[in-house]
Amino acid sequence: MPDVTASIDIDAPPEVVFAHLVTPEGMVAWLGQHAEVDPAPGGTFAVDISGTPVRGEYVEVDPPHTVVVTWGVAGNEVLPAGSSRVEFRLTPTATGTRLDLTHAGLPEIEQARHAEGWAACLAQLAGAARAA
Amino acid sequence: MTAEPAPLDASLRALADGNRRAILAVVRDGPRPVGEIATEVEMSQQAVSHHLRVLRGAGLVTETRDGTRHLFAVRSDGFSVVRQFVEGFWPERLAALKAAAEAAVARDA
Repeated sequence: MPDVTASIDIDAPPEVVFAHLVTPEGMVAWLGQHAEVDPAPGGTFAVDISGTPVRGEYVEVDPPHTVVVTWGVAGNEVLPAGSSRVEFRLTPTATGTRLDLTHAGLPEIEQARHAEGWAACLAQLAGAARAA
Repeated sequence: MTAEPAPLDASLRALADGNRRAILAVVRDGPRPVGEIATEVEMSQQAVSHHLRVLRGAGLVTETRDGTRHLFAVRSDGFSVVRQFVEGFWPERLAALKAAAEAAVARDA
């Protein structure tokens, strides 16, 4: 699935916005109702959003410019914990901060659906290659 | 203006089952009756009916009537459900982040 992007201009300095991406208090102020975070590469990123347990880990933490986390839903086969990737890029502006978000690596349901067909096709190709 | 991840959760749970994904694949090309779907996915009509109820509850299939037959069709596949959710989710959440960050600045001022 193509990346999903979103941007917003915030009348607050990058440091303040950044704090909202790396602290439990900051996270529950806008994203979810409960958060457990360890903002270092490989550290836990866990936020419960309206009963949906979003789970992943921090990939990149570069204050006050960049936060990258992996993102998925615990126990879910379609969007498993850590399976997609959310990047927050902060740029200082005259009035505060420009935030550019990219959500990448979302599932390709089409591919999952045709997985069996592809496997058969590849097996045929492999057979054809051996025969040749 | 409410971000409601609940529908996504329902959709994801519905899609997490391989049998239901197989059923979605069958009804993708047009409305089909339960019996035909059951034959194609090699499951009992009872099991297919159960899965169709879950899929309908998650908003993934619609049910229409053709005389006495009930026909099921794809309303929205998992691909578009996840995409629509994520596309609607982030702008609302970022608006909330903006409000929270600006309130924090106002508090410290």
